[in-house]
Amino acid sequence: MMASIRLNLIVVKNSISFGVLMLLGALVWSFALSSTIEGSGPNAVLSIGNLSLPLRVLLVSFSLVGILMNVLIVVVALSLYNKVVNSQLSSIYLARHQSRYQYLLSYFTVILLIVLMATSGYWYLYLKAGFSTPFLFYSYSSMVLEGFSLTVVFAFITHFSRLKLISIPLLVLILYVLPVMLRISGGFAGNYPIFGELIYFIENIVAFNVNFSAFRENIITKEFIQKELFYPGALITVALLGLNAVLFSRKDLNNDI
Amino acid sequence: MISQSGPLKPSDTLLFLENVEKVYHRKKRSLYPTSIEFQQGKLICLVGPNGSGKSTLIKLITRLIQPTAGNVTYKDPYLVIGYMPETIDLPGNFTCKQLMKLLSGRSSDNSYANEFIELMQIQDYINVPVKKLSKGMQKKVGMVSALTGNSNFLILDEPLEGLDTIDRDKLVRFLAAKVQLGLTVVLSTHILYGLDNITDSAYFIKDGKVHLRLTGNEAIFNLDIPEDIQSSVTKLMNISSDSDSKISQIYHLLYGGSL
Repeated sequence: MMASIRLNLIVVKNSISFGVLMLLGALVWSFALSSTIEGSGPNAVLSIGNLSLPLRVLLVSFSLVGILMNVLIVVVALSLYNKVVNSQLSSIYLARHQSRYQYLLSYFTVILLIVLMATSGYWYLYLKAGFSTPFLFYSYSSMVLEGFSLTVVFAFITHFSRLKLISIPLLVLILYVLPVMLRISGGFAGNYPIFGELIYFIENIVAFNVNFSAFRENIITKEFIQKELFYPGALITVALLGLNAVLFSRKDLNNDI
Repeated sequence: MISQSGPLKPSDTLLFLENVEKVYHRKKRSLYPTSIEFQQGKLICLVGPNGSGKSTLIKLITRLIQPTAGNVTYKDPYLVIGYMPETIDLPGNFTCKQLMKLLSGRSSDNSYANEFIELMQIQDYINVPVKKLSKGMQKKVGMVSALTGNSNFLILDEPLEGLDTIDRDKLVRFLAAKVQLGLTVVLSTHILYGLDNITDSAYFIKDGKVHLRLTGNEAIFNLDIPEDIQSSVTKLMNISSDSDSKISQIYHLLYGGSL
């Protein structure tokens, strides 16, 4: 397993997108280190030079840095997946080692490591803002899981060869567009219970990833831990990880050109 | 006749394919049910034109693809398989040395790979990113990666393609020497250069079917082969000659005409 982790690290360290992601992570760190925070929890205000803004503006997923970070995590994961998992390297390695579960697990371990590295500056911000231990744990875990689960869903889509080419638009559609569209047209739900159940299914099971940001927002703005948003999402991420491993162990590796 | 069904009786068999068949999407049949056994210390050639099913067979042997039907059974669980794909396509800055380090695992014995590096005089290239190497050099890197960790079962997809005459000679001689030491080699090729003297068995494949199995002076034909071609091949087999192009001549007899 260590050899396949090393293999992922060798490949990723040469990728430009990884460099940009790490740069963004470093930027968050330097911002966190050079800023001062007044107050604590939901009322904390962050000051840097003449600029003061509520901390919650920075910590929610839909901040510019948050969006950029998630996009970069997906790009790094996609690039690494294509170079290590869905490439000739896997054929050469797996012909010898025949350890497909370990090979895929190594890829996800490295991705998790990358997500932790990229988002670690946020952890420091939470700490500096005086969040209590459970708030710190849950808000940072949800941030890590949000980025990580994106890559798990993405890998799941790419196992189906016919969906491979449209994997990114499909990812955006399933995770972001579909739930919003259904929420907008939610007025029908009252009249048609099946439609309501469909909305529930898509919002909570298919687009579970969005719940992590809602969960975090509750902590940041209301100091409220809504566990029913966190645990199902975490469980679905683990289940999808297992499903990815099963699919990968049974698929034809036809990657040689 | 070639066994297209029914079990074989393995002796010092390393690997055993039993009625293995591969059908891809849209019912494209790449390999008809085939049974082959691979024995230790032998060199087996899979011969056939492009698109004949050789690479499918190789991927089934390496278990990179799953058979639609039949079984692929490895008799030795500790077999170290070295696989060389037809063309080398590694990510960006990957070097031969890095590949060797990752593939050797716990084994630090890379004497076969190092011997090959020395034989081909590619010491100066093992730290150069594979993408910057010529096609022939990439082929040698592929061979080094297959030999890394002193594999005891080599599976080589078109190893002679992209190499010049001198390097082909060196490779053929190198493989022959290692087979003498107990290495098992399966190679697919449509370049039949200098293989006669080192090949223990040759399987002639086209359209996913094994048409002929050649072992020493024994030829076992598939039922599809017309009798006139069978007798021509048998006649050629019985001619005592020093010619090292028997496999090539049989190839022309089988595939030069209507087959």
